[in-house]
Amino acid sequence: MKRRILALILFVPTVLVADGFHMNSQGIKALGMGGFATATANDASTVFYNVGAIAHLKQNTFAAGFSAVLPYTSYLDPFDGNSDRNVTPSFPFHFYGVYKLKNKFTTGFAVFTPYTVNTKWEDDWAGRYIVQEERMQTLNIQPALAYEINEHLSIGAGPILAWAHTKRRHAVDVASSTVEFGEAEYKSSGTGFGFNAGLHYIYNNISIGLNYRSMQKIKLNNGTVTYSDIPQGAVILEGTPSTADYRSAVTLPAMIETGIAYNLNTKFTATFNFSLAQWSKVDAVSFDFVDNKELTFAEGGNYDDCLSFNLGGQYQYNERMVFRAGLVVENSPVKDGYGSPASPDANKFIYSGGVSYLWKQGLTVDGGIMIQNYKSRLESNNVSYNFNGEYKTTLYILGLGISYAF
Amino acid sequence: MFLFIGLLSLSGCKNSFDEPAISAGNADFTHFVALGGYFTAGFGDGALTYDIQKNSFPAILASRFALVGGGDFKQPLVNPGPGLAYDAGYNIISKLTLNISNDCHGNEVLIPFRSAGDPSNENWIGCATCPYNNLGVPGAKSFNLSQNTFGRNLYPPGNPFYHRFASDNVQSSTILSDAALVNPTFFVLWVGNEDVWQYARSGGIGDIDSIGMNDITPVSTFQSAYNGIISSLLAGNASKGALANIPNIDCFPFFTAIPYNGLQLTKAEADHLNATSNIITFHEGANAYVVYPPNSSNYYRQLGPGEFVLLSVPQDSLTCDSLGTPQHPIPANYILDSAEVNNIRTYTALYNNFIASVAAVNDLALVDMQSFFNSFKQAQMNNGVHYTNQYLKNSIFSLDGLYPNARGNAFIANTFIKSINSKYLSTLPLVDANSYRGNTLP
Repeated sequence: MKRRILALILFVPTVLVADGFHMNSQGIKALGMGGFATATANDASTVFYNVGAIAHLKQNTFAAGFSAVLPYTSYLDPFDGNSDRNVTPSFPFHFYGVYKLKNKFTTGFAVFTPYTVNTKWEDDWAGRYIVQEERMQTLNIQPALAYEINEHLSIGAGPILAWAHTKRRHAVDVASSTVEFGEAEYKSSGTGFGFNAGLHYIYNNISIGLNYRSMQKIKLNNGTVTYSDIPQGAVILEGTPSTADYRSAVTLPAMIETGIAYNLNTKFTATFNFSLAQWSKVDAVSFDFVDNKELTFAEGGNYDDCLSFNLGGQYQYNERMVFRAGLVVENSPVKDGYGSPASPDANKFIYSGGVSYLWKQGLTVDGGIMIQNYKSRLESNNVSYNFNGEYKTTLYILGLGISYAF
Repeated sequence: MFLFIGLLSLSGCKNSFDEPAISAGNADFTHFVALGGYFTAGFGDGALTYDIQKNSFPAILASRFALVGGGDFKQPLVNPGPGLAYDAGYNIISKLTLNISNDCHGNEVLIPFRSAGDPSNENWIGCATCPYNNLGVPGAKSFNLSQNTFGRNLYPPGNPFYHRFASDNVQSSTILSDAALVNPTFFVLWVGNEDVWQYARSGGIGDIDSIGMNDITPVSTFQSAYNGIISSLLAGNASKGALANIPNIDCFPFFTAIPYNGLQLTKAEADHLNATSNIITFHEGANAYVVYPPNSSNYYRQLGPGEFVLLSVPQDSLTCDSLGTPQHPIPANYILDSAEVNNIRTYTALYNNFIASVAAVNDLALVDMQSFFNSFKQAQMNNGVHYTNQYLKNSIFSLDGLYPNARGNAFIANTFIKSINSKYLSTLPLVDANSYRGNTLP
């Protein structure tokens, strides 16, 4: 008997309620080396990867790019299984600028997508009462100022303005003679603040970086849930409103990243990076209903911290071409029993490659590809929803960008 | 790049899983028969209905057995539509459906109602597609399974639900002889409910240690009848099966939906009642209902904790006609008082002890339905849905408040599957209960 169930969902790798890594694609050069560039100051994306290092950049520079994120998640239910497939690529983007001021000051500017969720299952799939669709878009805007203390040491910092928009849809368990189940759709948006600070140290052919990004709590004060296809009998029985307002929040975890880069010779650089995303400090997300208090609920929380270890390298092939490669191992912050089909996270192994081509004086075109292999995750005693099954995810990120230095 | 994305989207990228192993273990599910009463037959919404028969827990079990060599599973189905139910005078009535109506205060409420039945459901379908694998008969007590009068058309002792499909409904067939026609290799047996529940459903109007319709069967009668059923089943090819025990009534909305202290009074109403009655003092808020004791309409008393008002009570009279006050005490046939509750609890425990010992002696699976129903006293999360034992609300129970809807049958089937898997080392998959229908709302 065939019991291969395919549910294909799409989500950009970091998630509303818990999924442990930063997006890895905020810079195309870094993407090729595993998504880290704490110690290497390559182009304007350094504003993101280590704000302290921009003072060590020699020129004014801009970088812009986008990536296509293609995650494939399959779900094997413990019953019969239903085929479910949905492919909707997402395209996070970024723009960075670095401008050298006088007196060893450097200023920077960044606009990027730190986290995105895009999960869509078939409307009638087995987990429909948990999630049919979950989307979150975020944007960070960050000015920065850095100072070169001496030729070895530089520091930088900047405030972050964060914005998020969320949408979630799930089925409601009420049936009439014409309707199999109702629908609830949640929408909210809001803003929050954070800050970012970094430090960069160069000594001979070794450089070391340290970058800290604070927790960002984005308040979603304008949440609205809309119910549809609710039979009148359910309205009488449960008092289900047609719409209700709620307040919620999205919390992005604090992240500390440190890395070391070593120039073996004029052509080859090896890097090692380590990052810690403080998911353990992220509480459950509460949905507080203003007038319909009986609808209030909370979910998520109870996370582990997420640790990433990255090994990367870049090789100057000739005057025009640079090749890059990277490996990452990373644990999932989602504990056993707490997996959610809204964002089926798991421990993962990531590998990537990239290339840069110097097109004209100062203008570089960058390309990168990353493949993330999630370890199969078997939920057999699910606490959150009593929703069991096996998840497998493979995720592809393709990035394209340009950078210009003058 | 976009070409590459397109290729990735269309090609490969499938994550494959190991095929889960599904096996029958030590059991042989080739010929499966289910014996029992209301729960087994596919009774719900106050009637034997096509929709719930199709999703009866034995039918769901059979769909899993079919994965590992189980054969055809035939049921004596009624026609789609109003189903088959009888009033007290054996007139055919329909199943319950919910209607929206206004109560005397002008509030919109959901009222279960019945309409005209389908008389053709009573016709003898006999052996047209027999032998039947589901021999659950609503109302069958343990000792009815071997009685050849049970299928005859004199009601009682005949039973119209069996009469319509007994292989010989004039003279000789019994439920057990019809079961033997299946030549079963595996059986499930869930009898004993009716032996105590008919008494409970009727408000304890019957006797204990007696064999009338609304009586509680004597323990010795139950034991010898149960032993007779087991030896009859084991005399054929079946050496394996599952025995289910009897749930307590205090987890069923038919008994619990109306609280004993559900008489809600305003200050003025309480003062008015206190002025007319000097036996009981009422106060603002929740008060215990006022009822007649059994066989009495001269004096009345208030209910206490642990006593039950049955869902069969005329609820509009509770709301609008002072039923449950000294003006109109609730008649005893809508009440289970503490003595009656104690009888039910005592006999249920005695039957269950015996069922457990029979399972142990004959090395059969024991399905603990008592624990299963108890677990729903707290809401149970299943695939993102909270299930309760409340009346109508996210309920595993149908509109009659006593018998499960299709969802409830799926949960029951899963409980059987877990028990069978554990006993016979089979690896049958559970079913997704959420994919079965719950109650239909207007």
